[in-house]
Amino acid sequence: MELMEPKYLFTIILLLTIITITFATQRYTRSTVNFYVAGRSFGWVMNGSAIAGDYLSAATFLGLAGLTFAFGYDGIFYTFCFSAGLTLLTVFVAGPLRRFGAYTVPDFLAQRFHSKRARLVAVIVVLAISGFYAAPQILGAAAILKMFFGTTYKFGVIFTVIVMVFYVGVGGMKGTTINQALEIWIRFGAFIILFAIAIAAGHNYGKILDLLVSFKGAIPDTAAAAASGKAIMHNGPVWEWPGGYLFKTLPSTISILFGLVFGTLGLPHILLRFYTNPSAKEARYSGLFAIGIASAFFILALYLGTVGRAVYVEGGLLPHIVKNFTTGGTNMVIPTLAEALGGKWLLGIVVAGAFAAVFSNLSGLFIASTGALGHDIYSHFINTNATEKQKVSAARWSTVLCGIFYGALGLMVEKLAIGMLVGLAFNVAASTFAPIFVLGIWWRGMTEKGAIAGMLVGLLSSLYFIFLPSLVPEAIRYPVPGLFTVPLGFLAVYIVSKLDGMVPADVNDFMVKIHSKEVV
Amino acid sequence: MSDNTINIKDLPPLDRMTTYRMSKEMSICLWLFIIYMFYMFLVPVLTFTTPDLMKSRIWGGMSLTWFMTAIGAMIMAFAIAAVHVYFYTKDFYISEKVSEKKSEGAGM
Repeated sequence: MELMEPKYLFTIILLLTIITITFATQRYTRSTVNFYVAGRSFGWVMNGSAIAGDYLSAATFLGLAGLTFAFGYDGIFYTFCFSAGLTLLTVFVAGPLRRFGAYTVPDFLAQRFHSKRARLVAVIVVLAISGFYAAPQILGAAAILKMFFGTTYKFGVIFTVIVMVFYVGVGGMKGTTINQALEIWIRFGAFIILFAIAIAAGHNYGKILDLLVSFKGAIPDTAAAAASGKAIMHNGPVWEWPGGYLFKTLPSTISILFGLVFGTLGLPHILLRFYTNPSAKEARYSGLFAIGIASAFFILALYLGTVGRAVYVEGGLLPHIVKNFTTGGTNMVIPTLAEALGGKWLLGIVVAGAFAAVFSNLSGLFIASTGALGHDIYSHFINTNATEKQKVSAARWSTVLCGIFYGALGLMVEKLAIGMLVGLAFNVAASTFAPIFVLGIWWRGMTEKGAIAGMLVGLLSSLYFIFLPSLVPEAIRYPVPGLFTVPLGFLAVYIVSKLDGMVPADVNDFMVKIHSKEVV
Repeated sequence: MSDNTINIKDLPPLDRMTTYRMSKEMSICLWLFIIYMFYMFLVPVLTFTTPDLMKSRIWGGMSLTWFMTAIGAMIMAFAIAAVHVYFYTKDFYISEKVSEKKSEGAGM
């Protein structure tokens, strides 16, 4: 029976678990504090797992190993950049942000300056970042469904959006957090099993790298699998060194580092996770725990990408495995390796892990956008006297609106590269919210005009560099333009604030609140 | 914009305790940030400028740059965050003890 195939079985078990958790937590979503921040009740283990679940999307679960497989050092450098973001977030932002204790990211700016304008601009930035980030995740989910279950792309988009609207709309932050925490351990578990099997099969890291560095020539059996009919070539010295594929020059490498390192500091779905802890201390420990999970996850992903390449280069694989490695694209490397090392049962676990990654990350983006619409727009612009019941109802309807918005974006980006869109999301976050949060928390002199200028300059400069590359001099045309847009965002906040000079009269009280001992 | 604004020049200084806490935490954060960013930017700079050094093998076929990028960076990320949380927790408990002593003194 087809449903007893491991890939179906594990995916169905995952979906049933999500449904059970979502219904079980439904009763905790009857007030705004429960819907948006789960009553600020999560300890560091649960929230740290959920932060890692939010951060480690399908692009990391499938993509990082795939990039290593395809591009060697240039692939691992992407992971290197991603690994830094959560650390800076924990060091500079986590504790003070929790002490502030709001519901959404725009809340921070609105209450820092008592300004509706700042709230509105922040909502636009939240929707821009979430949109750019959610579109590739939906694309990834639809691609996984198409790849493993033979559905159409359109069906994949609609199915994913319906699951997400149910997941977030019914379960709120409580259900979302528990699901995210569970899902990161499914992915991590899949990686640990793969790692153990690879080690047991004798794939010593040093030994396989030795093989890959010294090998130069045609990869066995690939001529029959390649669409061109020509064997795929492997050039060890180029594969293991930067510049072979993606990072041609040092400035472009530094630019990507800038965009991705500072990007995490401004991702709204990660920032608001710290509001769900009961205290600033728990928020810091959550960050540390998430970094521990993410670091181990990254090391495993890069090792598995290397094992995949070694297995491929060594040869002696079944023809359909060679074909999947050759023509499946970077996202197929982990599933193909799982099948090569552990057969269809391990493939089933990896497929469920891939869905867990998509759902986990998307649900965080849904919560962030739902808060921006339901809390920031509805409760502060449309119906300022809304009752608690109306606010929760607005939150649920906002989830549906986000579903339609993300679904439409997902349908529009079918032909675009996932990496470009994720890079854009990180770059916009790095150039807008990163300066605002770092300076807003640590500098009393930031003014409302400075904050708005910083967000607009960061957003517009990112869009200009990425969408109008023909208007950018070729020498500085980088895939992630963080080297220019991040300093521009910081400078805009600083210069406009200095020229303006008008800070909120109660800025000292704000600083006392976010930097005092524990305020809950 | 809110009417309740004040020129930064007329803003009274922060209270001593908050200023102390902010400057202490900021100095720890900045030091950790500098050490961490030094590592993060050192890896690509050395890789591009001193390829002979970074190509040296440290474990089978694993080069120094591969180790620093694919393993060292992750250990560094965790270590920096752990040191920060350690300092914060230490400071937190000291603050708690000071508060407890103050409240005990007030109750006497």
